Amino acid sequence: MVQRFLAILLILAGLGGIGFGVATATVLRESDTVVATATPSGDGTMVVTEPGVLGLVDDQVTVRATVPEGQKVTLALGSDVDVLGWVGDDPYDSVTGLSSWETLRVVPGTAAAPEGEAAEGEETDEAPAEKPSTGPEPAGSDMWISEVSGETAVSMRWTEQPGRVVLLAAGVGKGAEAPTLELTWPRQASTPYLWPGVLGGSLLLILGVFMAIGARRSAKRRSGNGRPPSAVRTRQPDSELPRRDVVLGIDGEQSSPAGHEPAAGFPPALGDPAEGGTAVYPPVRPEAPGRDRPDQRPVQSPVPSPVPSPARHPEPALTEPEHTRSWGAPAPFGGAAPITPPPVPERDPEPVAAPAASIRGIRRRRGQAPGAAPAATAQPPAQRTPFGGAAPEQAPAPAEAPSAAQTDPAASAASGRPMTRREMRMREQAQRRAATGAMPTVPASEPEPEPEVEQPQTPSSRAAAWRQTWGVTGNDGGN
Amino acid sequence: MRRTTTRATAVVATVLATGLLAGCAEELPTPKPEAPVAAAVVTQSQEREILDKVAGVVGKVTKAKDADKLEPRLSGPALDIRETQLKVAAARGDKEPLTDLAMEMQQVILPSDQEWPRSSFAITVQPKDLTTPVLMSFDQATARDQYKLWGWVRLLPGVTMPQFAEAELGSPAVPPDDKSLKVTPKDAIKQYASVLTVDKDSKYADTFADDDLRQFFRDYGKLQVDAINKEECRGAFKVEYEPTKAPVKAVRTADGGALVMAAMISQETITAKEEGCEIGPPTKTTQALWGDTDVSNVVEVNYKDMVAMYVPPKDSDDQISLVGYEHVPSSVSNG
Repeated sequence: MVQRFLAILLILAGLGGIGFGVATATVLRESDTVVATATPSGDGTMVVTEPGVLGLVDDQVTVRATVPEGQKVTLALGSDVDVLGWVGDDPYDSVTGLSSWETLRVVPGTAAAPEGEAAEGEETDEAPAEKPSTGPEPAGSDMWISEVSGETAVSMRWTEQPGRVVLLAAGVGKGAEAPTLELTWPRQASTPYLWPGVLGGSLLLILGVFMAIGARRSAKRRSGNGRPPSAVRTRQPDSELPRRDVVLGIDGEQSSPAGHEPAAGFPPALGDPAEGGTAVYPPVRPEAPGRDRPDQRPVQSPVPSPVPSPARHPEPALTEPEHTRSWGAPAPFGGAAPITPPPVPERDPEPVAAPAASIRGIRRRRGQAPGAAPAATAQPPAQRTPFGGAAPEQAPAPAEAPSAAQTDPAASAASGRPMTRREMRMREQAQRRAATGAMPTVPASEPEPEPEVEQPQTPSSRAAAWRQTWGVTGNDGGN
Repeated sequence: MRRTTTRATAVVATVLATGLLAGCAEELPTPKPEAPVAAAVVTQSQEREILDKVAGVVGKVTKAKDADKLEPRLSGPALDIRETQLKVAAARGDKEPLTDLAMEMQQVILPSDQEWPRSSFAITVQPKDLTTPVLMSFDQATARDQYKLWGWVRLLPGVTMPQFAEAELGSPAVPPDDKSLKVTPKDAIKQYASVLTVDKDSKYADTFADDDLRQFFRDYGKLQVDAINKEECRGAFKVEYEPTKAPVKAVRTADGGALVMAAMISQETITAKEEGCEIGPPTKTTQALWGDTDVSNVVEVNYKDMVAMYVPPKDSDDQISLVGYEHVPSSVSNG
């Protein structure tokens, strides 16, 4: 009875945990934007951001400036030198960063002169007579990258670019005061409780379910055997042990994939959530199977060889680094990775490798997606080694991909024909041998195909290549 | 049973701990500005916009009575010379005196100095009328001023412009009294005025390479004198140049020299020394300016000038050479 109660408790707790996890990622999720406000501190009619403030949270920023009803306000973007030069000796407020997630830190500008005399504004030149409260008009200057003017409130969007771009917000005209500045950035709202909640909940749920099953079984047995229900009975080893075994068996099943997956650079999360039944992780699914089925490789590698187009050979090389990176990334995120929106995993690896390659990689991958054939042809041995055969098509070691990229296209493109089976076999063997050592030794054995380089591409050679590819003739030992 | 409970407790504890660890609060980001880099303070796209704005103003003003509309985008010698050209064009009744200031550029020389005034230069493509390209100078006097066309010269036919730093990097301005040059920019203009005035007799004649402008005055003067002498009136021709008070603009070239641009004024005097001879204005433009002034034995034509020259660095063996000039008649008198 206690067991059944506990089982129900566990199931409820499990469901609750899953529910909570999902809720933090959905309804309870933090706002997708950061809105920070700067309230001007002193006199002066201008607010200037320091370099870097506009891109503080995200490259995309929406700026909104408000002044008292009916007054004019201008926003201008320019380099820090230009903006501060324009502000000159007039007092201004400087926005130096965030003091909290809701407020911007504002300090009086460094070059602020004691007297707020508005120097001659370029077009609205009515300066000295009006005394400090006349806000000079920055609008229209040749120096601004972008500007907007309006009454009471104006806003503009800016995507941070290289350079030291700062914002100048100015109240303009008679009796002007510094505008209140509001910067809004989109934010990748993190969902730290999602996976712990879902995983932990699933675990509790499973435990609870099995406990319930166990409780029911023992109850059945008790009633089926006609034995009088007794506390002593339930504690007997023959009723207790099987139940335990079941539990352990499940545990074992769970832990064993979990043990393999990290080796494949894959979050351990995947094993469990299947039972969780939540709809959260499908994004990962389509790609996941490839990693867990090592048996795909042997099927693929012989098949694609008939594709003789030399032009396609370089493609795999371009593709690989991208795969590697996009798969490599989730690891640091632990269980949370699969549902984290795409931008996050990508951001990490990008600086590491040449961006150009990754862009091409993306494009190419789409183009050759279903066939993935050349990739398999050219790469299988190299790929298998570092990952223990876990992920044939997507798991070349980062160090290897570029070197393979260099040798492979060179050899195959020059010879103008694909590798024969025999060559592939030999290469595979050589690489398997090499791969028992440290990874970097693999490229050293790669150049093997190079002897083919001299082959001129004639129709007969192409035919020979075709024959060799399919093993039609027995004389493929020539190479 | 107890063991199951313990296990469940452990699991719950683990889950809670994981959750708490994962839920650490995000830290406030701090601004990470890029380090300042040496680059032109005007980007090429900004320069393009500036050129469009200036060209828009210049293009609209084709009549002398609109001349004050030039002020927002023209300053200094450029404003002065353009107003003069408009006046002359009005007197002549055609647009020939107006220099083609279409601002399609083949090269821009952008400022790298962060302080003001900032100056940029630009060389136009060859104008449609097949005159030579124009070298223009733009000036932003203070941060709150706009870039304005400050001056221009027509490049000499076949002249080779010095090399400048990449437009992205910008070229530093050279102060008028810069000592790293063969002659400081200010002195270069003074000395060149002397050379133009007395040609080979100037003590600076060796500092300057011979150029088209000097050759022009020799030819032109000879033409005038010959014309007068044909009537046996003993003609004489004289040109006097002097710098104006407008500042000299100079920008560093890649070899450490400078491109110097300055305004000058000049006066040419044609005299018929023989008693009783009378001469009138020599050219179509001066005739238009002459109006119904009485003729005498003297014609004085006042010009507004702009010259641009390359001044090599101090240790160079090269001479200072003219790269372009503008020579606009402004008034004529009978002495």
